[in-house]
Amino acid sequence: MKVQELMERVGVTQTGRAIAYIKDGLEEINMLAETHITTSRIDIVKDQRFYDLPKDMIKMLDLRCKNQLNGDDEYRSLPRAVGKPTSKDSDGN
Amino acid sequence: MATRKSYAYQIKGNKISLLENQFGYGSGQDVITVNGSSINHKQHTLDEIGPTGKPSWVSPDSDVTNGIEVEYAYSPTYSTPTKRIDSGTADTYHLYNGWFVVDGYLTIGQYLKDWVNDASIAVDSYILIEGSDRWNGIHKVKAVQDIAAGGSHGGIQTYTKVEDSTKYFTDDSVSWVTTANTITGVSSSFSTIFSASPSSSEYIWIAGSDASSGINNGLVSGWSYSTGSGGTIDLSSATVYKYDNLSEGTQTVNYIQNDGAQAVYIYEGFRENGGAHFYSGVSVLEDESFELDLPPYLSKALVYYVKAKFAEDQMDIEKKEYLMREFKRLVEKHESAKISGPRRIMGFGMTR
Repeated sequence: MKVQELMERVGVTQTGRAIAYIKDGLEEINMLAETHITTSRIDIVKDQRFYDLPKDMIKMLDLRCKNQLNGDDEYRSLPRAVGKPTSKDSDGN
Repeated sequence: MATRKSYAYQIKGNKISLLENQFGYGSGQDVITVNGSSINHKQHTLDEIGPTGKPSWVSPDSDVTNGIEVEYAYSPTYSTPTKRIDSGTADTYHLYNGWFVVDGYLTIGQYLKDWVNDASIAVDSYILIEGSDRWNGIHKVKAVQDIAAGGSHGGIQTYTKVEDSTKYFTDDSVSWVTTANTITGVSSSFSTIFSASPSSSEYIWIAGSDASSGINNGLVSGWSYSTGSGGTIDLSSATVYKYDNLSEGTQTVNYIQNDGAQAVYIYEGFRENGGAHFYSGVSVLEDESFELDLPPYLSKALVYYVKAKFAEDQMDIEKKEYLMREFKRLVEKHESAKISGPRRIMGFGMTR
């Protein structure tokens, strides 16, 4: 469906506002139903604890690491740690 | 055999906090065998396990290229063009070595690459970055410079603001010297901003030389600085990163060409480790002709959503609530329509 057709169905002529709400709607749909999924890989750096999440991420579905509980270079899901680690890191706790 | 790891994560703001378990066994074993694989474990010493000792969960203890894989949902506000890498100026698929920050804006660059003549990389056009540690997604182009023209950055500057404080140095008159592979006449301020003897993971992006093909510019590691000859950046042992046949390579020594009385612009660089690329000529959601990449049923849900937002603007809350309910009903129906048959549990989701 083109934006023009959607605007006709809604019955609006203000393109700027309609596009802003369409962008909101696309985000909301992906929060609820994940229609568009991709993966991104990040290098692990020795002694670096914090890593940026992808800029275009709306909802994280899985976080995997290479060789997590295996020695075959497989990517496996990570458990989420509960509680604060006792060891602080130079770039924050 | 790769080394077995045990990680866990936490979320802090918009960052992943990655922790690695440095566990040991009370039995005193430092190597055990699991499923035929030898696994190194460290038996902690008494000094390490005391009140001031080494804890079990620490920051990662080794570098792993592409070690983290994030699977995520994104908003389809753009359509990716054809991957074209055959023609030079009409290409839509491009590689870049790293990023740096110019006037607070994200800028990307590639050694020896002049993007000025690329038809699809114009000011106010959009690029789609993929494979980056940090910058995946759509970016609007603010400026494009020829790497060989002696400009202030020689890359593609975007409108994406970078909030991090990064290093920058400039000097209005320096010389590139081919025999020694150095840049001379560099103010000593350089060594107060950048390391005079950097580690292997520190990078700078050099711009400003108008030598042939922009050969003196690019992403560099392994430089050194001394106060001789009015301040000298020695690049004789440096590494400059480039691309050969779509894979990252390096040029280690003897690449500098003579170029005198030029300004130099040096930015703190961030290397992308060879995996990052971008598409140019990307179509984005900015006018009525854009084709939404949604299944027809969800397009109907989106109509309800937009109607709800307009109703909310008119303070017609009852209508807005009705339309949002219809929106959610259609999204949920679309989700449940894709499931059929009995379900089977495949394993414990937290460890596989």
